[in-house]
Amino acid sequence: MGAVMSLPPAPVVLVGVGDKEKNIITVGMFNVFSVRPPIVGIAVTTSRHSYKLLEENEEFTINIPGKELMEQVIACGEKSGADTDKFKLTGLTAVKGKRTKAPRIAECLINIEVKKTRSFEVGDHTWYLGEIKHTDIVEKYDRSQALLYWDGEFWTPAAKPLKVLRPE
Amino acid sequence: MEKSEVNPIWACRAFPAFPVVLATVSDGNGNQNIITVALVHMFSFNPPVLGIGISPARHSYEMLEASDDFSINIPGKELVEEVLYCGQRSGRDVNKFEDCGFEPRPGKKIKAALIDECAVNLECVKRQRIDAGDHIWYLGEVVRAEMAKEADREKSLMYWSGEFRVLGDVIRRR
Repeated sequence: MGAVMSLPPAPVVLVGVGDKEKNIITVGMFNVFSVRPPIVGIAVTTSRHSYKLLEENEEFTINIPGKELMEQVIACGEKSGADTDKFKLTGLTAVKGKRTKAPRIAECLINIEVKKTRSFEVGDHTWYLGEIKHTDIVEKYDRSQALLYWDGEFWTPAAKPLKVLRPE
Repeated sequence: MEKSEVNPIWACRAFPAFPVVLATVSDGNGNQNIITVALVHMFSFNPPVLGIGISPARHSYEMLEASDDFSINIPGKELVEEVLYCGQRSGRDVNKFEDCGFEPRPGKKIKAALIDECAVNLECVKRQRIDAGDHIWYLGEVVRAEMAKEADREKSLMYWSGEFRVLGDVIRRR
């Protein structure tokens, strides 16, 4: 296990899920699975409250928090939605999705609305994959504002790239 | 926050940065190939499962289809040129171990070689295959791992959307 924990940090995201009962889940198990079509995936421990909400709902949002939201990211990862309203707890603002019913988080840099396409179990986690249906992004987005996480540590990416392959 | 709508494919390019690793795979006849992979993530902690996403257009795709295992090697930022080379060239045309001057070390539990110059080497045995769109994902259980004493997260190399980055600030230590 020590060796896998030595992987570099990866983006940590806030997942919005639910319609009447809304919840925020902090997810470090997040990845892009396909670019065309744009498929992203998140994983949660199979036994968690978040698992139940992700099973019951067809849609979820992925919200990229900036580094100033670290305390909220930690709170949403430590508390369970079973006994806590995390929107109330953190003061984060739920905004109705444009093309899905899942709540988006206003304070995040990017809001991505996802329609679930499939799920599968791997070991102790259940993965949910979905197609991106809508994305809103903050003006002058800068990826070095975003939060990375792994093995108990929060980082940002460096402000300047080490090497650029093509102009953005 | 003031935001505007963007194309979902562009949105995929907007993510911060992902770890980039060197994966290796053997063809079973003594040929070893290296592929640069930015689509890599942990899939399960217990058992430890790592997955890599590969485009079917890649030479490594055929090798991975035919193989039972692969290795994941974590490069430091000093290997950025080698990482780029292994991502841009095809194993059909070049021998990437030779061209990069990498020392292939035999895996103890797998047929794929390990890259000595990387501080962490993970031996993975294929367990699941996921067809996710334009990438095929191979999920492998980590059956053995080696780590150099000098392995250091601060030297990590990240990549996304045409940009190699190193880590910036640590916001909170454990």
